[in-house]
Amino acid sequence: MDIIGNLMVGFAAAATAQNLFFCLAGCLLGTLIGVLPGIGPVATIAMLLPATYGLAPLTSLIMLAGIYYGAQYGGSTTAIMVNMPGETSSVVTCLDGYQMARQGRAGAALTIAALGSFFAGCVGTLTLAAFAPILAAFSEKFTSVEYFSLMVLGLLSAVVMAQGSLLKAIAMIFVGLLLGLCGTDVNSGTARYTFGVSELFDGIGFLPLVMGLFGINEVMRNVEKPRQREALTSPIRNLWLTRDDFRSAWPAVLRGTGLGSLLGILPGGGVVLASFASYTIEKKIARDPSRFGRGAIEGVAGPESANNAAAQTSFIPLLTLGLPSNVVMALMMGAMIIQGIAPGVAVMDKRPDLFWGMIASMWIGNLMLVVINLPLIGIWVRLLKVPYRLLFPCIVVFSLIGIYTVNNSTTDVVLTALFALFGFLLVKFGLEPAPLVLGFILGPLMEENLRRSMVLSRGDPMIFVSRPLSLTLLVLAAAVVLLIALPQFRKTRETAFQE
Amino acid sequence: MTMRIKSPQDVGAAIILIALGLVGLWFGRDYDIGSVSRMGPGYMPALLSIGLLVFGAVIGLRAVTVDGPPIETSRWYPSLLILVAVLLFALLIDRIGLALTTFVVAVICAFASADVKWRQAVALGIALALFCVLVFVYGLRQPIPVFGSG
Repeated sequence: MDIIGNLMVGFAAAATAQNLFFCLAGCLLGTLIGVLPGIGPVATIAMLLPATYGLAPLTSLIMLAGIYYGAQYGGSTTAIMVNMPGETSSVVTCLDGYQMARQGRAGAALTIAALGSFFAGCVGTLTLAAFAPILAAFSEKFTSVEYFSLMVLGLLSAVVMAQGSLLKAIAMIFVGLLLGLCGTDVNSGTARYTFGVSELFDGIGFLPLVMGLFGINEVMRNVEKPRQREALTSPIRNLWLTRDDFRSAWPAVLRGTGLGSLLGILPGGGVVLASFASYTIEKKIARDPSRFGRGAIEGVAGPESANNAAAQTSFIPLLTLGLPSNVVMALMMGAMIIQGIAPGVAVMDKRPDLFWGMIASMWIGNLMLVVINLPLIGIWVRLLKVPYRLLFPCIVVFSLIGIYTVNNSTTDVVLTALFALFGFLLVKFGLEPAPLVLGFILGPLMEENLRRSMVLSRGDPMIFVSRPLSLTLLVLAAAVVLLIALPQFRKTRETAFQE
Repeated sequence: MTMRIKSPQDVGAAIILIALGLVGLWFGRDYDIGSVSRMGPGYMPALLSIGLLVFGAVIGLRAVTVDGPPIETSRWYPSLLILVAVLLFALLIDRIGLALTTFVVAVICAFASADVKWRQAVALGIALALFCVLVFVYGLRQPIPVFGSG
């Protein structure tokens, strides 16, 4: 089989001592930061991005993938132990996970989260390996016209699945696109919005942008409200699952994995949708739905598997089409661009070692998480007891040293402060920074593809609807927006996010 | 007819978007627009800026017609302290070196908590400064001066 051959190439590239070391380091750091209450995966990745900066491309991507899985797993731990979701996708884990912890079954909840995630991760990685070449072959027919329409579809569906006002989210995409255009225009050499600052000639740095918008901003919002942290209910006695636990959990793991793998591929789908959908399904098909919310193990097993499967498969649009389907993927894409890799079908053709190496490393990362985190769980939980007032000065200092050492530039630190303030105001006014980052990453690409399309058609915008493939993508984009205008759908969406 | 603000959040959002749109148009005024078939460097910026103005206007209109959530105003100075700490880092790191900068930043950040104690903050600052110098300068060999401007 071709897949196996490809994966072998990948494992050969990924399994060097150096890569394994950085994968391990990434998993550990990711869990370490991700486990802190109030710090979700996006903030974690943003803060740790500078750490991957100086490494070779494959090594840095491997470390990044490790950070991502670590952050996600850390988030689940916090959700289960202190009922504090670091991000929307672990909100669902709180529902039953925390109840399990209160009943003294925290160990079982953590174990099933880890095992379910690992299983889902394996399936997700295989799905990725199987589907990526197919989608990549499909995308070879794409010209700039189709790419532009694809990005429109990607951006719109990403915001439809997100929380909050659609209008504001689209406005934030525009802000991001505009920010993405800062710097020297490749075609004319005109310096746009650089205000004479030489650091801005290459555009606004991705690292200061996300460090400010997500990292520092998250700390600013956390210190704003004095937090009353719920005390840990009971020490973890044992990590083993009982026979009953196992029997009721594994079908949920299977269902969650299938659902997550599927939803992750959709542009804009991804992790949050997957875990919500899985929880709803588990509750619906359960013989006794009233157990949910009171510590049903399926309520942890299903969503945790679903979100990890989706976390894997949401790499598919990114790696094959160069389209980030959510904000985490936008961070990954930003990191790749920093490394000089433009994600898309070209990477697979020209650098198979990089492409398959990264896929292989995802599996390795998942394995490491299970092997490391279950034994270390005591340490992570103890970390939850450290007072927040001691933790966040450390986070701020490390983040700042990280951002400073990338270019030894204080301008980057000042930019970080500006974006932190900007992000703080945005959140106050109900504007989400996530669509902004998607727009920022895609801004230059969209401009380039629009330009080329218009040259191709001699200025006739009808080219976007006269080509069947492009038309299909745009019709899908319109359908996605119409969908949200339907009162029925809007209601479901609101209740889904409220639960 | 008097206009009553029904959604304070939307007012803020509208102001931000309109301001960004105006900034985009004003500073982009010299960029060559070009034509549709030959887009100049100013085409997309102008398009996006105008888009922002439209979004801002619509959200602004919504703010006076549809009820919305208030702006959460709790204690703002802790967040401000964090921001000050970040800016101080930028100001100090090249001048007084990593050790003292870390100390200052850590202590200021610590005071963003309501329940901070002087001794604890200072102890944290010293510990962090030591740790950062050991890890970043001696461990990871980053070219940052420990004291002074190197």
